[in-house]
Amino acid sequence: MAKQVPGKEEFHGLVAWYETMVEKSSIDLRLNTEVSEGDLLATDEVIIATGVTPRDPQIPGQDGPNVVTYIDVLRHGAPIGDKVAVIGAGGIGFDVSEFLVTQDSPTEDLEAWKAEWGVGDPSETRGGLRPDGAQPEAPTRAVTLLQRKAEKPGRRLGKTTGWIHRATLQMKNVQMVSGVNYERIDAQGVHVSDGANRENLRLIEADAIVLCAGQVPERGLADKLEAQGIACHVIGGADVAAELDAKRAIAQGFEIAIKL
Amino acid sequence: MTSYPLLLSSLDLGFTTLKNRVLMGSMHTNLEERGDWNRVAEFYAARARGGAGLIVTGGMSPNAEGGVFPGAGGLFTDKDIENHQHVTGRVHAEGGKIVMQILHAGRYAYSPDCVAPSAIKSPISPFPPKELDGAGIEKQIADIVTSATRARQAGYDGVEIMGSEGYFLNQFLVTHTNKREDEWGGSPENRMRLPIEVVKRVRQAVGDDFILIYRLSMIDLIPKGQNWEEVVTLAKAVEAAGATIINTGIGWHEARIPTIATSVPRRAFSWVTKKLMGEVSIPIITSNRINTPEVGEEVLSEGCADMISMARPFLADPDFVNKAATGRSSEIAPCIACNQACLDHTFAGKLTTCLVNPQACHETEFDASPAESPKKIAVVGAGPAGLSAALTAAGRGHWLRFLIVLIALAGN
Repeated sequence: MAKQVPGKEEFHGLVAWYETMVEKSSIDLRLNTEVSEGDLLATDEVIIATGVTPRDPQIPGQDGPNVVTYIDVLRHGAPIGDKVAVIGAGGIGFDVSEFLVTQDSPTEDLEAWKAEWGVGDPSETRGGLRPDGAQPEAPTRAVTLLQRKAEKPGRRLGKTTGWIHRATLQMKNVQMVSGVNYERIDAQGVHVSDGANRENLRLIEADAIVLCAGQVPERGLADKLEAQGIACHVIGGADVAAELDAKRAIAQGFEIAIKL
Repeated sequence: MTSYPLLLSSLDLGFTTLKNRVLMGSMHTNLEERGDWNRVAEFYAARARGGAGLIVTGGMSPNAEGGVFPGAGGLFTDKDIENHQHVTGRVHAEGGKIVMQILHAGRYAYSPDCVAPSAIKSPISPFPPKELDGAGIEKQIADIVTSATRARQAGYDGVEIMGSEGYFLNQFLVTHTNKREDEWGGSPENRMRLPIEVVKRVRQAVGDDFILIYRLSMIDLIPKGQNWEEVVTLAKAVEAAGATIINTGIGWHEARIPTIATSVPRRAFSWVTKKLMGEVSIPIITSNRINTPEVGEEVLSEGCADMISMARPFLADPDFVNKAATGRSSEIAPCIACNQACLDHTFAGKLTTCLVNPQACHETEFDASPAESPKKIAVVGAGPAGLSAALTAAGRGHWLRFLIVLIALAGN
C-alpha cells in the first residue's frame, strides 16, 4: 500500500526485490491460499506473520456510506470527494493525506519537485533558492487531519523526515486539528469536541471521512493454533501492531529465522 | 562486456587506481563510538568485499570542540590509531581502499564548547558557538592537519575533508554564518581562505601519494549561500591546493529543502555537479539519491560526474557492486531512502542499521550462515515480516514448506 503514496515510490523497488528473491529461492509460494491446521502440523516450525487489521475507533455513524478506511483508499482506490476529514494523524494519516491532496507525484518529475520546494539554480540566485520561493501545485482536495492526542500532529514521525511530511501537508493547506474527541459522524461530516470535558462541540464539514485510527494485531490464526497447543512464532504486526512498522517487522523476521 | 561499462571502469588517480567509479559515501553509524573495533572493521570489510571502489568512513573529529557530539570519535591517541589500523588492515585484505573523513562540525557541534567563524547560533542546535580568534583558527587548521597525518599512520588510503552540509569549513564560506572582518571574512577571497589553507596544509603534511577528497558544497540551499561563481572559484582553488578528487555536497543540514529523503527524486542533484564538469581537471563525484546501478550508469553516461557516491545503499546491500558486475542487479537489496534505521537512529544516538537489511552494522552479531539441520518451515503471511523470515530461513538452507499470502484463515 505504501507505494501508492506520493513520495514513497521506492517501495515499488522493494516489492520487486522481494518478488525476485522469492522466485530465486526454494520457497514454495502459495498465493491467496487458505491455511488449515493440518498443513501447519506437517512442518517443524510455524511462523505467523498475519499482520494487522485496522483498529475499530467506535465512532457513532462510522458505518455510514461516506466513511472509508485507509485500505479502501490506498489499496482499492475508493472514490473520494473533494472535502475530506482524515481521522488519525499517525504515519498512515499523513500518507493518506498526502495521497488525497496530490495529483501527480513530484518525486516522479524533477522540475515539478524543484518548483514544489523552491529549488533554483545557484548560477541565478545565492544558495540555489528560487527567488519566488516554493511553488507547490494546488491541493486536489481540501483535507482536515484530525487526531485525539493533544500534541503537534506528526510529532512521532521519523526524526529526520517528519518535518518534510509536515511541510508538505502545510504547503497543501491541510488543516491539522489536535486534541479532539470524535463525537459522531453524519452526512455533514465529523462532529468533534475538545478535551476531557468535551467542550466546543463543532462540525468538521466533509463529504468523505477516512479512518486511519491505528491497527491491532491480526492474531486469529495464532490464537487458534495456541489454543490447540501447536507452537508457533508470532512476528511483525501480528505480534505488535503499533504503526505499520516495516523496520521492526523485517528485523524480527530476520532474527527469528537465524535462530531456527 | 558488462552492463555498466562506465560505472565499473577503473579510475586512475596517478599514484593509485580505483577499481570502479562507485564511492561508498560517509555515514555516521555510531559504530566507532562503541569501541568494538572488530565490529567496525567487519562493517567496512563487508563493503570492500562487496566491491565498493573506495570507502569513506563516518566523520571523525579533528578535536573535541569540532565533534558532532561530545565524545565523537577521532584519532586522538596512539590507541585510536591502532584501532583504526584494524579497520584499514581488514579493508585492504579484502582488496578495498578506504579514506577517513575529517569532520569539523563548527556551530553544528552538539556541545556548549562549539566554535564558529562568528557567534551565530544555528537554527538546529541549542548551543551558541564561540567566535574563534586568529589563533583559534590556526589551532583548528593544525588539528585537522594532525588528524590527516594520523589517518595516514592508521593505514588509510587518504582523507575526505568535509567542506559541505553547513559544517565548519562551509560556515566560513558564506555571510550567513561568517560576519568576520579580518582576513578570514568579508570578501569572497577571505571567506574561502580557510578551506583552501586546510587543503594546502594537509597536502603538505601527508605527501603526494595520499588521496585527498574535498567535499564541496555546490548548492547550499540556504539564503545568502554561495553563488555559482564562488563555487567554481573554490573548486579551482581546492584543486590548486592539492585535492585529488572533489565530492559533491548538497544543502546545509538547516536547509528547509529535503535532499536525501525518499520523496526526493532519484539523482535529483546530478545536474548541479554537471555544472562543475570541465571547470577543474581532477575527478568529480556526484551524490544524493542514487540507489541503483542503472541510475549510476545513467549519471556517468550523461557526463554529470566522473564517479558516483552512494551511502545508504551500502547499508541495504554490501554486495551492491559485485551483484551489478555479475548480472545480478535485480538481487540488490534496494535502499528505499527511508532513513528509519540509519539517520533516524544516528540522530537519536542509536546504532545505525537498515530497514531493508537488519544485519547492517550487526555483521558480527548476527550469524545467517547455513543451518546445521534443515527444517520444514511454514510462514503464514507475506508482508515484510513473513518475507524477511522466509527469505532468511531459505537462505540458510531450510526447506520452506510454504510461504502463504493469506486471503483468509481457514474456518474464520
